[in-house]
Amino acid sequence: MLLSVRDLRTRFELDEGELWPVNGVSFSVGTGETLGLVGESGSGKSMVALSILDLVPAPGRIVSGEVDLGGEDLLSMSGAAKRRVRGGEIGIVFQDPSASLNPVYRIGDQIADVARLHRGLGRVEARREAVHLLGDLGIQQPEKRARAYPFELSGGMRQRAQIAIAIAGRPRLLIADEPTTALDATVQAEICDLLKHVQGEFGMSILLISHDLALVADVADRIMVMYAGRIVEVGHWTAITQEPRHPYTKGLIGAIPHLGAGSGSPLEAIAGTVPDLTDLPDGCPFHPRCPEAGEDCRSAVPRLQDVGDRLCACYRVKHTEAVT
Amino acid sequence: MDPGTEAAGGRAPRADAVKKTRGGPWATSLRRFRANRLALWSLYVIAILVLVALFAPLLAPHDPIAIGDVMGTRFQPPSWTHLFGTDEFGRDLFSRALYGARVSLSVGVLAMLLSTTIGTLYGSVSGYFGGVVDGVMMRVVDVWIAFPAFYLMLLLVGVFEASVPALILILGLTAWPATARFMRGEILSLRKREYVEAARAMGLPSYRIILRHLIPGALSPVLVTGALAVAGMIGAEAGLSFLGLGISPPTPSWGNMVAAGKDTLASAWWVSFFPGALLTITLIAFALVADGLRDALDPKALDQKFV
Repeated sequence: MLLSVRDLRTRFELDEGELWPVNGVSFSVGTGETLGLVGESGSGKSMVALSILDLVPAPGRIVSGEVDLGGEDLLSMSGAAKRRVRGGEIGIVFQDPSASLNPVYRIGDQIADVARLHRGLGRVEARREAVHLLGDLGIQQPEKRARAYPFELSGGMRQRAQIAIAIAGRPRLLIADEPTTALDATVQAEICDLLKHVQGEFGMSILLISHDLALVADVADRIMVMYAGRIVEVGHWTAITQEPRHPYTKGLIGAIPHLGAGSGSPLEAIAGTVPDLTDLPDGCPFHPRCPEAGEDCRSAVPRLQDVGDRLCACYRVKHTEAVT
Repeated sequence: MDPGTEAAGGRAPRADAVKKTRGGPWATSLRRFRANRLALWSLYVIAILVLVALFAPLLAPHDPIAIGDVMGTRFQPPSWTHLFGTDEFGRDLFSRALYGARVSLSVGVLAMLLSTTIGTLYGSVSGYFGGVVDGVMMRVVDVWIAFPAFYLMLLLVGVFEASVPALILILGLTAWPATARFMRGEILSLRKREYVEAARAMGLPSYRIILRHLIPGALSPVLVTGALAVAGMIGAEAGLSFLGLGISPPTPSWGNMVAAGKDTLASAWWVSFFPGALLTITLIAFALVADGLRDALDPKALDQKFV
């Protein structure tokens, strides 16, 4: 395993009360694997990413858990060791490239900076590497674009530039946090292909975070579904998309619009709204919205357990032998 | 419709649009600054003063310090031989004013650079780290600011021998807390930007985040306060010299030149008038340039001429 996260808990103490965007999350990412993390907004997906890098913004803090990277717990490392991991072992791509690129520096310099810092390249080598990466990520005239400022590029090019920054330190894990959400639908597909390409070329593992299950299913080997700070179902992408078992995952799959489905058929949605994280219901956090909820769901939180071909956290889902 | 003409018609404005965004925000600001007549002329005035200060030895028609035939040449009104007249020792005031520009400008600019550098770094560190570090650092600033700056300068000038380098140090080291406080505020808002977060996620050490990602973002307000600070420093130097605590005669400084003429204001007005006028023009010029910079660098300001 490249990365193992064990029982990670991140808490925010606000005036309205405390909330736990990451509440006992455990998972692992294998070498060269793409793991998808899916959930609605506010389910804690992005906090998982920031917690892995130990960059949770105040007033949040990681309360417990381990982020094990190649046998070492990142959370107990020294500041300098953490900085070597950030960008050097784990690269991250954020949602909005126009906000996460510094507007006053040229794209090439921002890429070269990371290559110099983590790979000890000289000024000239790093510069050449930046141009090379831009070209590799499908940017035409990379020499010219490297000299451009972020505002001179299109949204898709900015996102490519951001990916170049994230992989300039040759990390072993690339976290992509909603990498396509701020982009046009056509560019979305290109960026997805690019992530696959990057993985093939550098053998990186990817943690792809998105609210878009269809997009994740297109790229990921395994999919992890998150709800209200907890993982509710994990399994191979075919298992999750073809045969979802957790009622929440079923709802997500049902909500994907299909081309060709009778134009009269209504778009399905999950009833209710995402719960207020400061005021979660007792028991399973999903039970107020769950069509299958029973008495037992109101009393205690179901644990994530092996149900045969996947892990699932639901009282209604019993262990079965893998069908296929 | 003929596709050729359509393409040509479509291309012209687009090329224009590209040109307009080329060069980025700095080019926009430069254009806005140039459109501001007052600020531009003030900048020319400052440029002339700088040249005059640099080439004072070549431009001065007389020795600024040497005292010649006192009885024959003292208190002469402005004439073609003595553009600004002569003082009680018969020295050419025009030559003294040229040399005085050296003192005023070098003290003003260098003291500003010193105080801006210290203030910028201090405020950035305080704002970036926040928490206890910020609390302690800002209390130090509070205490410093609570103490009237001019009295602090008076005290320091009294303790140390006043020379140009000493004045630069004293002015620079007393004035930085104001810059520090405002810089801290800028950094507090900048550090929440996503690109700063991204820089941290890429493993950049704090000092590089501060130097490369935070300070450049706050550069435009620093430029504005810097230009204003030069005026403040020149004024402070003149004030100290006027009181006899700054640059002491016979070395000319606009401040001590004004002081030298204050007793003979009724009979020989020119002794105080010319250095006083230069001082006023210089201070106004720097203030107007600061004003122009503020308007030119404000990203929210509507670019009325170009929108």
